[in-house]
Amino acid sequence: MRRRPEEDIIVVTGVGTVNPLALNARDTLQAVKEGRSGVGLYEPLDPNEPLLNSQVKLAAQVKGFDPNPFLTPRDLRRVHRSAALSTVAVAEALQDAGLLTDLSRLVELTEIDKLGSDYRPLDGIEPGRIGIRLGTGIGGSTYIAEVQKIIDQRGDNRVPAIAMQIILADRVEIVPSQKFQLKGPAAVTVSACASSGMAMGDALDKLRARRADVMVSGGVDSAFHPVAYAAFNNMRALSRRNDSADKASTPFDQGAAGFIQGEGAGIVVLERYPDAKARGAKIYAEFADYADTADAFHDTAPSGEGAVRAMRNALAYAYLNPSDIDYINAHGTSTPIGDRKELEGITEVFGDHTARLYISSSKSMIGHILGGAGGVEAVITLKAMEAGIIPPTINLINAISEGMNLVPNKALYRKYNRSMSNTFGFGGHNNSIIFNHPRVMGMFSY
Amino acid sequence: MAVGERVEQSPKIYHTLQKEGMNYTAFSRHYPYRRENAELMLEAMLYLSARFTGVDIGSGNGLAAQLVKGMTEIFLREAVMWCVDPDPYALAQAEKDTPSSDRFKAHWIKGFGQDIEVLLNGQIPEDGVDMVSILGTIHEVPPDDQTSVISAGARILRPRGIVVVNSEFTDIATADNETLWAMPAGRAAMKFGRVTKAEKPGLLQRAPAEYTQMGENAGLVLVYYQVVPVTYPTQALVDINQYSGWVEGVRNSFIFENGQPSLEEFSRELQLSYGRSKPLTRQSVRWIFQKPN
Ligand SMILES: C[S@@+](CC[C@H](N)C(=O)[O-])C[C@H]1O[C@@H](n2cnc3c(N)ncnc32)[C@H](O)[C@@H]1O
Repeated sequence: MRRRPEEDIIVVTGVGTVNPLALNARDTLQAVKEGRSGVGLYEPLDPNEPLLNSQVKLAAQVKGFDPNPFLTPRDLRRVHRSAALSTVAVAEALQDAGLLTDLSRLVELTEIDKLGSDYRPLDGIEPGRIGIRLGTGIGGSTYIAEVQKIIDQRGDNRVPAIAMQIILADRVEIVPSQKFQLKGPAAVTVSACASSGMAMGDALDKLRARRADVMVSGGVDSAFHPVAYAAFNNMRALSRRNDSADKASTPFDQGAAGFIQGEGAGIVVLERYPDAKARGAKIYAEFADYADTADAFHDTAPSGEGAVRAMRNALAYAYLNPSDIDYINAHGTSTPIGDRKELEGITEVFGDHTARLYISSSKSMIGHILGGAGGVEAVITLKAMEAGIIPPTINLINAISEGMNLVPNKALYRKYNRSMSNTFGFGGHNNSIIFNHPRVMGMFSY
Repeated sequence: MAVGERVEQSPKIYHTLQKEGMNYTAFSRHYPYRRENAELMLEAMLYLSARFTGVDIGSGNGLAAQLVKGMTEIFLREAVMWCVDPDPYALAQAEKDTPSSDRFKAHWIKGFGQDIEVLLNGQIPEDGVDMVSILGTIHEVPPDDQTSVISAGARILRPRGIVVVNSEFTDIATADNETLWAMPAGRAAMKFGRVTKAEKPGLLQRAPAEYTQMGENAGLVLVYYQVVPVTYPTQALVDINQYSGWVEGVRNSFIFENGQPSLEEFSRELQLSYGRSKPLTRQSVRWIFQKPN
């Protein structure tokens, strides 16, 4: 194997997550080791909330979420829950990367414009050189339905002045950008359930093109709203197994009957290796490469071909052979056609090596976090690879395919070098990303 | 013939060959360069079947062969390639870095792109090969021979076979940051006394359309064309100045009143000078031509 020059290596130096299993990355890893389920019956955050859905009661919710001290109650008034989740996960990732050490420097959102341009809550980084690129599928758009209710019931002059700040998808990155003064390139990538993976790819490109020195990336979604539930349920995408909540998310099982909607955020901090080394930052992995493709095929059914191309192109860009990959964190949503197509695609790409791969779906534990799935799953993959753990596919009794190691029910303890994480989205978006363990950083096969 | 000297003073090449310590190896490991070529090869894969044959002209340190080898693993295909370069140092390095596998075999052949029909006669399939690749090389072929290299490539193709070309040396390559590219070179040259700009640049930079025309004149159909920015980190700018071909091209762009520095001396100054540059972008132009039925 040959090695890339250090300047060309992009590494992950921090991770953060808030998800149905836990409120930070460390506890998430513990839950993954234990193979816990984050799925339950939906519990409204507010007792006056309307019924979520008449048929589907299941949800993978973030429990016990407390955005303090990163967002104050006043901040929260102008922020959709998805932006609150992303902000807290960004904070954890920045802290983990050693860039946010003094929380007393943080101020409320409405106070920021009163500070001068030399306001620097982060350490040792020029604000203009740190950017943020997050993925979200839905953002705060379900709030549009609430606004419509206000218009219908009380008149349009009663719509809150901050309504747009709650609705817009880019708020999931604008709020952390303001809070932590991330003044480099900032944007969201919206590509349904592949949003986070694509955002991480875009962030990688920004670093390669030297448009920034540090990029915060990953994604978020939180869309427990009757609109989202009705729409997904009526296309028969959701599981209705209300009587066995923690056993309902069953990727790759013959009994798979739809996904369980989840919420959460997963964030990574990316930078070029020489910078990370100079700072003495901890290195989780090299972000070796990614590929995006579109099926151009069907609104909800995958073509299979597009996912195959995404996996192959990601390998080609990372200069790796299929046999170099050890673990695949699959998209595996627990929908019969999607799960089957993904495993067929993996077999097509990996050929004989398929039998030696570990393949698992974190969605068995965290449900489907939609546009945030790729971010949370990247954090799980990175923490697990670091710890030498292969995350399990829980609730797997009768696998839909033979001869594959789908890591049923129990995490495995193994050292391994390379992981691929897949995310696919309605409309035919496909994204594959590859992480290399620091042991094999910069090494490529051809 | 000693490595690092002109090949028999042949008119078929116009720069000094690579040698120990002055070669393309360090540069061609750089991600942006490999990525640009990998993307083009991925595009080329769309025109190739499960088993294919290819001829690589100007194979240098074996990049095209390495990319094709990787793609045979990824796409579960099989390929045989004949890789031609006049540079024995580059060929030796390429062979060392590109071992054959179950799916891939490369033959390394010393010679010029102008002569492939004679060189490969009896070696390649009689009905022609599936692909001819000319990566980062067409601009290095003496300008009057470029047409004949592309035409020779077209002649050894089977019908529906492809010619894959890219170049970062066209007249649009540095269009938007020409001064940034030129300044470090000027600074390095001035270390050797008074210099003026040569009347003709060290390398002819054609308009992309001229290469398109060459392909079409050879009876090929343009099926893919892209211009892609490629941003090089500072270390890549240092490393390209280890390549004798580049260093000589830059040296020929100046007239040194106190006499030309040696390639080694000039390379060292260029490396220091580009080592102080910010990352720089070039526009790579890509073509895939197809031979009609
Ligand atoms: C810039 S290098 C590119 C090498 C390789 N294709 C790559 O992309 O890494 C150009 C190569 O073209 C070769 N070359 C120059 N003139 C040539 C000619 N007339 N026929 C074939 N190759 C030639 C040089 O020896 C050199 O190895």
